[in-house]
Amino acid sequence: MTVATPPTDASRAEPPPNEPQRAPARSRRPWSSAGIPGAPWLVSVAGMAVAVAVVIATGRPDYAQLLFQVLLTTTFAVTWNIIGGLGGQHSFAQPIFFGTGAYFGALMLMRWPGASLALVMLGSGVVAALFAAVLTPCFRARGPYFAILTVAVAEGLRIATSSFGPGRTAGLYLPIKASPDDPTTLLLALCTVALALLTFRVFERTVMGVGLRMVDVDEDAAAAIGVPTLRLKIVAFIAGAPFCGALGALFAASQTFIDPNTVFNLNIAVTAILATLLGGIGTFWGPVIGSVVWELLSFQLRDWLQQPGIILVVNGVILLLVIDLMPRGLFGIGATVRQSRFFRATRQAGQS
Amino acid sequence: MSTAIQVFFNSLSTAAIYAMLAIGLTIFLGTLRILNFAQGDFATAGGYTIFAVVTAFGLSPYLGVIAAMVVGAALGALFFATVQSPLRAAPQINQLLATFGLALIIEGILQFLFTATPKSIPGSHGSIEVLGAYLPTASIVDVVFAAVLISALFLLLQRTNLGRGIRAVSQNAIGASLVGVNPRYVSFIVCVIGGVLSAGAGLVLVTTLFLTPTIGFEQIFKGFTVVVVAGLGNLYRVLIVAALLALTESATSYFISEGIGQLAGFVIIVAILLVRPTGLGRVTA
Repeated sequence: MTVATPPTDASRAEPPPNEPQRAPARSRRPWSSAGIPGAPWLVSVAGMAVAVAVVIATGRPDYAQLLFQVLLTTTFAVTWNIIGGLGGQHSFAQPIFFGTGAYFGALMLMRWPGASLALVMLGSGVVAALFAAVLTPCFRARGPYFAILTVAVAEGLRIATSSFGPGRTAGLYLPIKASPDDPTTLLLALCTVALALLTFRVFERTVMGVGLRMVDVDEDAAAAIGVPTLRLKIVAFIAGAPFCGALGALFAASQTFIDPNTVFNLNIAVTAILATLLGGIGTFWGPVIGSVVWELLSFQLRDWLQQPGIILVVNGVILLLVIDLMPRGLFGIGATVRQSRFFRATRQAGQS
Repeated sequence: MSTAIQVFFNSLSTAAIYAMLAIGLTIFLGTLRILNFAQGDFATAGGYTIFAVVTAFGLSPYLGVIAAMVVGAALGALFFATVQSPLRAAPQINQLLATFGLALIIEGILQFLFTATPKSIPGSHGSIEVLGAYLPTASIVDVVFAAVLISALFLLLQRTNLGRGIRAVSQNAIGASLVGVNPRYVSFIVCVIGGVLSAGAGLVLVTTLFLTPTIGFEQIFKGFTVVVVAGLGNLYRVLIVAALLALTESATSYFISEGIGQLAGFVIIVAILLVRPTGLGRVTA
């Protein structure tokens, strides 16, 4: 074989001599531009849609509840993965957005019980994004101080709402508008997750993702070569907020009451980070797989163990084991094993 | 005048617990570079140990504190084995989350053993009248105990070779290991010291508040406030800030409302970090 024959494809005809060469990827994947949304997005959303369809078909409320929880956690994890996974900024702000959205949504639904749920979710999303914009001065602090600051805002908000918010500690009582086993609720949650995943995809596959990864590795060096570090961090921070806020409204609509200790709970952020680390930080599939695995595991554990104290202990042990043994998560398990002392020792023994 | 004294008296126990938690947090963050969310749960475990000793053997809570410190040392060692040692080279977020895991385990065990209903020791809530204000007797013991424990730590850090080693590692871990300090040994000792100090804070919890499995976790945010405001590198400043925060909370609770008092710490932390992003202290982190 002397001449490599190009594929005889009409769209790949020889370009005119003076025209710059076009990226061939365009024609191969007509549904995506620069890999957005791309196959992973389609596969993950299709997978979740199938899960929703199956749960609706079986009509079991406990499965619907579990799936709703999985979709919630996935959204928290994916939005955390933008700012925390790509950008390396350890934000604990998820409960802030979720709680703000839940309270806004609840107040809207109490005022106008007939309002369209999708509209209320949209409103809550906008409010959460605006609130995130207000919180951007948090980025003046860096490293552990940034983490402490977001924790402080979340906890402060919880205490402030308990003391001065509508309903105080008891929270707000509202009519169930969309219970979790209602197909509409699951579909709305599915749409929110799909949009959140798409947002992550946009960050991952564009120059913004490159910049965020540079911020993660060395923020000063990134700034020195002209990466707009602060702007990137702010955009990544705000971009995740509307999805958490919208799901807050959906959560409020699915409950008979909401209270500050539930919706501003720091565990929301912890679970999001745990799910992301479990799956693989900074990857597309990490938060998705991690959330599914973690929520299924917790569901089973709650079923088996019954005792709340024991459940906490087992959760803690699993968390520690995951972090100690799989620092790269389920997706990096191959690399972790290859770099382990045991593996290297056995391979060296084999070579000598 | 007597109101001002009363406010001061009310702040004493709180100041003691903030100081002990914040000093534990500071040496963890300064030496191990780990933000420890489980520190408050060490205090809860200490508190429940004292409660168990008092209810089981009928001893004074001030004797039970020795058992609490033993438990604290064991928890510190557990922290070293499960968090510090395996994760010393891991990304910060992994370390942070691992401390959450430890916090969950401790809370779970306490909830299993003692249930979630609030517990307190009977007869520890007396008070004496000084200068026209009521001084709770528990506060006196709490403050004296905290002062003794913290002074012992200061002496250890300033006067012994071990203390010099700890300070050396916190300033420059590589440099310290070059001149013959074993960083692994120092880390272990720091974990144990932090555990003992925090478990000691359990005495304050059990004598002035009602014990629940999550009470320490709620207190740890106040510890964070103190650490952020005081910055790393100077333990005397941590003490002053702890006392000032307790006084602020006591004053706002007394004169305005309980809710504002609870919020004071968070408002302070946010305000300080917005103006001075690395805290008020020398930049070391």
